[in-house]
Amino acid sequence: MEQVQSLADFLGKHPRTIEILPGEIDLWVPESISAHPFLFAEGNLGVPQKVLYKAYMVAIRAYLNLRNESRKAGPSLQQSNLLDRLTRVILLANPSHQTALNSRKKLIENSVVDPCWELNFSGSLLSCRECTKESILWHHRRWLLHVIHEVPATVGTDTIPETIPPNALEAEFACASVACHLYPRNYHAWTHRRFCAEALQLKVPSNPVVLVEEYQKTLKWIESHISDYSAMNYATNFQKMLPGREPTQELLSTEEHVTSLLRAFPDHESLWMYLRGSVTLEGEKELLASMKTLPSARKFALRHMVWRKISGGEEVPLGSLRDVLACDSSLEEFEQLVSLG
Amino acid sequence: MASTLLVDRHVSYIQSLGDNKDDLVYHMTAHLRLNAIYWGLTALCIMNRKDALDRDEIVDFVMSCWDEEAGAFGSHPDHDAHLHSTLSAVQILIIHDALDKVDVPRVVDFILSLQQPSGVFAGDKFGETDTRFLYCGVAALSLLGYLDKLDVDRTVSYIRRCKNFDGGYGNVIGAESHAAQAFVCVGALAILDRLDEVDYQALGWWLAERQLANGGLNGRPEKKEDVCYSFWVLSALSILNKLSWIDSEKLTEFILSAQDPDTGGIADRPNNMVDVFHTIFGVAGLSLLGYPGLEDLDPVYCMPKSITEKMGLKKGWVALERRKSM
Repeated sequence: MEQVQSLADFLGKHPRTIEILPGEIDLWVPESISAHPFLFAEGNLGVPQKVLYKAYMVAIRAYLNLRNESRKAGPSLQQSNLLDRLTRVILLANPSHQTALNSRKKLIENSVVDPCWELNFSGSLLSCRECTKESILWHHRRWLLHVIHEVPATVGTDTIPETIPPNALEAEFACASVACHLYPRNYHAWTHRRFCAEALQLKVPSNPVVLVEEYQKTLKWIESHISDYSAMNYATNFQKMLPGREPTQELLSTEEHVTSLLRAFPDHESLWMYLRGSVTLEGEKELLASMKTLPSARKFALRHMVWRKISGGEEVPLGSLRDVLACDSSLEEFEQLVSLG
Repeated sequence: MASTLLVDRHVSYIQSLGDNKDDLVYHMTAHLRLNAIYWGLTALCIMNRKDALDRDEIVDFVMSCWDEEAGAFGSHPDHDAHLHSTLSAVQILIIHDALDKVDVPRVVDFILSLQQPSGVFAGDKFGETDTRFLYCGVAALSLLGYLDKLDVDRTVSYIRRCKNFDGGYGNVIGAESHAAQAFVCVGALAILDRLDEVDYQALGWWLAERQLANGGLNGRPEKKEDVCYSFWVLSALSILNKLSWIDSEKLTEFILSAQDPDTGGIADRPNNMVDVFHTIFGVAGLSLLGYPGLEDLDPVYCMPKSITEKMGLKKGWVALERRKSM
């Protein structure tokens, strides 16, 4: 229990980052350091996996006992404080433990835990790679924002509230963007970011500068993550939110963006999908014509043409579909498909 | 590497799952226990070995997960009720013909209370929304015989708003197309007889493009292959009657190669750790691909077809014809 308490203390200091350390403890944490068996330096917490799992087993048993003991009368203040500490440890080890997360929500509803404190705690958890994949942790943040910004209960809790102040919204963007770095193609982090974008759009119709900044930031991200279709989906949807956008040299459209990227990296499926979401029939002709001599691009160019036909309502014979999927189509067939497009 | 389905191994693997109630793995996965029992039981049914797990023990366990306060099921005794575990409980009880043990109208109230004004469902009273939970709500209401209580147009309108230009579906409006979301959205539309909402050609193509050179399927562009997509992708394709769009032979080989010949069970991909989640979705995929000797799986409910047919719930999906031999 000592290590559970000690870990709960460290988690309560709102570490900037948390890392779970694989392998032997001695490898990472010399016994001489004061935080042993944990590492805690400049706000960065390291938790050896073996220690974490041992602590989890202790914490989960104590938690289940406590839930049973306090079921009828509700938890006393002392029990509530212990529930707070145990669930911190449980959630770091097992971030999909819904019931433990619900316990924390109840502690907030009962004013045992402050929702702003909890938002910081959630930020610490979401700085840990293993936690960033969990949809319930992202919803927890949105739920907290509803509590903090006193959104009436009639509004569903699964949005970023319109009433969120600009600096708090910035913090949400930052949290999602850290997670996108930590875990590539992170579905729920990009979804959270999309919720942020919606709130941003509602807030700033008169001041599109921040919208444009986020859009440009995303395009830049894509340039260094050319397999990240999650970002590309976000960018194409985001473009639709830009108010009265005029294509200028400073502000690329996604169509211009993807066309230039595909010329440099023609063998990335994600970019071809990005193309489908961005390009017009007119815009793709020249690009496709230039791709037909590139062996690495041909497979995807063919698939693109099938998609173009199919989405235009045309029937493509099963044999051709299978040939294209198996990359068996000849150059002649390719030219035929391109010209038909 | 195994070239046939190792049924006996998988049966012993599933039987062993509840053995070590004190170990870390058990406690790390308790929040999915009821789902895991549904996965294991369904896999056994499809392999014709339903009786390999004791019926009464399972039914008692399901009932021990009842959350009296919420009027629904948690995933483990002492866990809070959730729509996902509630669907699993309903599926298990129907497979074992034990629905009479449950206060069905209370469960129906719980499910209906989670539908949001937009038409999507929350997973529980704290309000996380997702098309996954919409499917859970629709499938459970249908299995319980209370679909007439559902506002179908509102439900369908949410699915419509989650449809992307590529024909695929995301977990919320504007989210990226994902193969698992294709299953939940197309499955829900099939149950609601609203498949006219689906862009058959575009979605079929997007799903067929999930197949990689090694035969396995991924869930999104440029992600790794994973056995579980053998169900998510194939279920949607069979509802669209487009299973012929993928190479079934190569996919069958891929699923079989992810079996562990020593311990039994199927992993996400070859040489990884097996789990019951990938075991059911591997077996389910093989059933839809017409693998010999397996029972038919209903891809809409992910339950034995014999059961949904008896209940009058079978829709017009098409699996590949069952082969007599490999």
